[in-house]
Amino acid sequence: MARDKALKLLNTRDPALKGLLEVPEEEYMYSGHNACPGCGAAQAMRFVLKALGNQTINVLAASCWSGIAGVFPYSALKIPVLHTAFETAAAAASGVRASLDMQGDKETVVLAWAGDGGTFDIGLQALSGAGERNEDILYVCYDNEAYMNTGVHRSSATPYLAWTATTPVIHPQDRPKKDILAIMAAHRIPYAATASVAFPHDLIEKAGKAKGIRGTRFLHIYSPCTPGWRYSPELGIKIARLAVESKVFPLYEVEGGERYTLSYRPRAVPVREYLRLQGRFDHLREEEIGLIQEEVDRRWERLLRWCT
Amino acid sequence: MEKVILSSHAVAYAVKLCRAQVITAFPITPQTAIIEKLAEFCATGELRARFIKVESEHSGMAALIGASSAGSRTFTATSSQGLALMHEVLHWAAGARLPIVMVNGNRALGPPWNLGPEHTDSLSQRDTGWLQFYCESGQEAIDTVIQAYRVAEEVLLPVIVALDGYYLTHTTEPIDIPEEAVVDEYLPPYHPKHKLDVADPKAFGGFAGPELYMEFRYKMFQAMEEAQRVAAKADLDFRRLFGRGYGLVDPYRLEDAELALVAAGTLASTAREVVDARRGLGEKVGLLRIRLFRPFPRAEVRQALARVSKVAVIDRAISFGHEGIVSQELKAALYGGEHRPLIYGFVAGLGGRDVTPEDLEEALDRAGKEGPEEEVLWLGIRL
Amino acid sequence: MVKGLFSPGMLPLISISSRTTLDTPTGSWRYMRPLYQDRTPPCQDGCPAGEKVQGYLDLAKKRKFNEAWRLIVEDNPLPAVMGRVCYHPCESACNRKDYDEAINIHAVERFLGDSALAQGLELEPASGGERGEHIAVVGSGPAGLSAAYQLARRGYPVTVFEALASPGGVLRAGIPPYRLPRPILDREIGRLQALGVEFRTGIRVGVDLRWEELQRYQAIFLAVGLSRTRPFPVEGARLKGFYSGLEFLRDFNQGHKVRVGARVAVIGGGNVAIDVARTARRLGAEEVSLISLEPKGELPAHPEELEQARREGIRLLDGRGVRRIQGRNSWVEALEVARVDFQGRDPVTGAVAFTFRKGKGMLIPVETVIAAIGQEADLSFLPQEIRGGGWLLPVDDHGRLRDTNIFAGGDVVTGPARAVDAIGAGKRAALAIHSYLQGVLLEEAKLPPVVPYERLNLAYFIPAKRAESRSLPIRERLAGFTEVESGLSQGMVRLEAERCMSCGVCNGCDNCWLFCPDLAISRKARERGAYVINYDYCKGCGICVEECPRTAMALEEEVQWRR
Repeated sequence: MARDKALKLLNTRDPALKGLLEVPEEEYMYSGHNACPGCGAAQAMRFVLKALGNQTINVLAASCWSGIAGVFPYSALKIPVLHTAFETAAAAASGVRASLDMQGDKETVVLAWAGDGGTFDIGLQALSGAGERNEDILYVCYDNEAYMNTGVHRSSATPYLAWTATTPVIHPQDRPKKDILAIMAAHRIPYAATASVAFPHDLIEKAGKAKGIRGTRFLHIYSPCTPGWRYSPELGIKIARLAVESKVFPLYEVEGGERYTLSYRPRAVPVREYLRLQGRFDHLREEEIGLIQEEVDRRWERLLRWCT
Repeated sequence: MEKVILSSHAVAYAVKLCRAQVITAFPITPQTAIIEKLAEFCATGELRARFIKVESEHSGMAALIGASSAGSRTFTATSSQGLALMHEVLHWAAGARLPIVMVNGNRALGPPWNLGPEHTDSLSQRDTGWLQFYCESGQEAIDTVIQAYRVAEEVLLPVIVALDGYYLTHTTEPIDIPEEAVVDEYLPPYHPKHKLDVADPKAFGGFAGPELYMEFRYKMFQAMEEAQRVAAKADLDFRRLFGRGYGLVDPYRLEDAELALVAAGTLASTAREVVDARRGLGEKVGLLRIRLFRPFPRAEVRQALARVSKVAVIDRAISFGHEGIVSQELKAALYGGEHRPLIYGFVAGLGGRDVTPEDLEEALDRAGKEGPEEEVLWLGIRL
Repeated sequence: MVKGLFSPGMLPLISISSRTTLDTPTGSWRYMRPLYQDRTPPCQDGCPAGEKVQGYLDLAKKRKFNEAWRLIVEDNPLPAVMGRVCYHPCESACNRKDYDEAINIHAVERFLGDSALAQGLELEPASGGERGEHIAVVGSGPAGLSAAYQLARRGYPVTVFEALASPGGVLRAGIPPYRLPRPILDREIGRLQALGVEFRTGIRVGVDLRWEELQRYQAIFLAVGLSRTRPFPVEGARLKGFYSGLEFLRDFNQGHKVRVGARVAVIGGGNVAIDVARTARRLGAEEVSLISLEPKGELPAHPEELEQARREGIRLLDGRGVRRIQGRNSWVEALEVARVDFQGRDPVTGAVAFTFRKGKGMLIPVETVIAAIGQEADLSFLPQEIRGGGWLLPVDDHGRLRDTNIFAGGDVVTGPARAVDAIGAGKRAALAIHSYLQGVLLEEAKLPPVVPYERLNLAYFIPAKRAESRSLPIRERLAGFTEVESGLSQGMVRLEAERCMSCGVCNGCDNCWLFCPDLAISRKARERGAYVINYDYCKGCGICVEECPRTAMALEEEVQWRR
């Protein structure tokens, strides 16, 4: 049962699951990178690379990570990195893959890395193209729910009623967050999954699983942003965890575009618990929290139907 | 081996002979025949390459950026809107110093929708850092693509080889397809000094602030300057191996000419007819065809026009708010020289309108008589 | 900075980065500093003996059973005994009880004690060498044994005087063997002998040995407990068939013939009363009634003991007092029991306040009545000037009788308390005596603050059932004095130890290491003390501190800002 497994995943000391749980020792990232204190995106990269190892090439689209990765002549990653334009992660990765294939290298993992803006918005077309062609790449979207690098501007991943610098509190985000995983599932790619930095074992396991699959693989990683979400930096993991526990960001996998599997059954924390830790939701009125709760519950029920 | 084939197919043969490893393409008229043929080559295995059928030209170029960065020889073809869509990544490819070769089937941009040949699409990519060749024939197209790889990989800048849509892409002529072994001799395999390599992990294209950005741009500038010499050498070497060459500019009966037509692409063929006709009447008229547009071969142009007193530039392009693009370039190139002929800039043949010998006759006539050279002169306008 | 990196002509073609961000330390961004800082787990805080419970659970989890045992015997020399008889205040303090169920600490302790016995592990002297000062310990109950051990391991010669024929005090004379099999007690006491403690049994100080003779010892520790039964102030207490609980147990436990009738009434609501009642059942009594003044829920007996008594068919008549014992032919025949209003109990003297309610009582026919209504100290062997005038011995904060070389601890100082209180008292007395003899004040290390339940990060724990040892079926229990609890298997002990939340003490869970976005925490091993924060890169986000499940880290201001 997914729930039992996931629950045990939390208990890092359970010897029965040791083989499953051992977090790879090796790091493929260096200290000294430029992420803000407590950055979820930095954690996401660290976890993913732990699963993928050094035979990986990172195609890095414009995002916070363009800066995190280090200013020339420094690099924060132990793997090759190709910095590329905002909307091109999936396309450039397709090209790297093609080149490696032509050189007889089928093993090296081509990791396309982009934020939510580069995935949900400007890079969606390229991603759709790559997914439809079933390019043999692993695409990771680290989702901090807005254009953070530019100064917190809404994207189509920004949640309903959230504040950003372009959705001020007098007119906050007025549309629900785009369901990117459903979009990717609709491409019938072999593997798509959500993951969270608060559940590193699950995340690493999924990245490892994705590594072993050929074709387009998509990981949607929930990555809290301290300045953008307006919370004190130590709370990042807590918020990410509450996002899962409150069903705001469920953890699940979609294989072949059809087989939905829940990775973890949340403890059903009210969304209020999740929202109240973040300044971007400070302006919410009680009835608005109710609206969000309803929407979360509705989507959860729908997900459960898909999972059966 | 001589074959009567479409120029577009000739391009595909060139790509095959150059052993391109990664090809991307998105269909757009009039370059489609190129990629259809390449698709066929890849499908049959005649060309060992990965052909990525991208969902847009932008992704097509982005994919080539990836493939080239990973060390592969790459190719794509596009036109018009497609080229315009690529604009951002054209900068990126050049900035990343990737020797990508792309054929552009020149075509007018909408609206209004139009499919006809016009140079504004590629000329307006002038400042992206790409080399640009303009071809006059199918033979030149196949040869230029081969030369383009040689130049691109030496100077580490990407190259556009421009073919007029329809007039060239869709015309059939007897074309000598070079021998594979000789092409191999001419063009060694691509082994970049730096590439994406897990055994030697480096980050490519990371942030560089104002304290370093300018130096990287200066290096590009230097490479572009160097490209003139490299392109000339590549053409000479080509001539040595294949018995054909084109030069960076292509002068015709300019030795004693007083009035010169200047044009790029297939227009030059018509111009040649007109030059011959006028010469028949005893007029000292010549033609300078611009083959290499970027880098602009200033020295060659100055030398070729050293004795003419008047120049009529026929632009199949327009830069709104100023004038024809080749005309501007020419003026800029000659301004610094000792000999400064009068230059008349004509805009003609936009959206594929036929530029007839009569149009060129008119240009020659008007260039002789009409007023200030700053004025933009339109040929064949009916209002 | 970047400019100086390149000599002319060395700049690559494009921005190809081949150096690492390790060259750009980010520690200077930090204004909060995380650090490892253990707190006190509530179990340890709750243990009067100060056992490092978290420590030995952690070792047990890693199958380091012998090391775990060594950790226990730093504070308590009798793990196998105490694992059985202790009412485990550690478990009442355990934070896990608020989450699901407390850790079964006593079962782990018992297992470790038994395992050490099975392997013949011996107690070892602490470093420091042998010392010359000879110490007398009067009384061999848990306080006496604990003090003797702590002094002996510090190198002192120790002689323990015991009035009964064998050492152990209440452990031997009071606690019935179905709770504490005698071989266990014998072997753990034997281990003290092996360490060098001398036991002189059958010697009543003041009777067999004059008090003055103890004066040749450089220090004396009095741990004589509460050995005298409080008289039962009710008519009929002289009838045959009436016993006092303490004597009843003492007689039985010393192997004397003890008889009970088919119907037994036990008067009292404490643990001794329950020991008596359960012993009576095993001696053949068919109906045993437990009569307590306290209403249910207020009984001083431990709830587990009450529950066991209930299962063994002992009837509880709570909120009732005995008006009189009815006799016939000088034998007990019945009790008259009536409802009372219970008003309280003096925690030191054990005196109770209650009033009978109006109305007729009920007559319970019995053959045997055993009153276990409390004990008091017998201080008659001490000179008046030493014993003072009270119920108990007056001592200072260090357990010392004023201006003497005499120390005291255990029930004789505190009044009725638990065995584990006595173990702790013995330990503290030994330290005080050691201080006294060395002329320096040695105190136990001050413990850091206790971690309350609210400070745990519960996300990292999953509900898990407490491992319980199997109990003997009732029929088999009543057939004799076989030990009731069977203890936990090694596997169960390990699993139970896994449940420990390790409150306030790093146990190598890796969270700090795992979640650090800056890879600024390294680990040499997955254990306490093996994690190192690299302040060259730590940006001070505090995630490690927040995500520590057990509050074993702290976040401090990097700079004390001026106002």
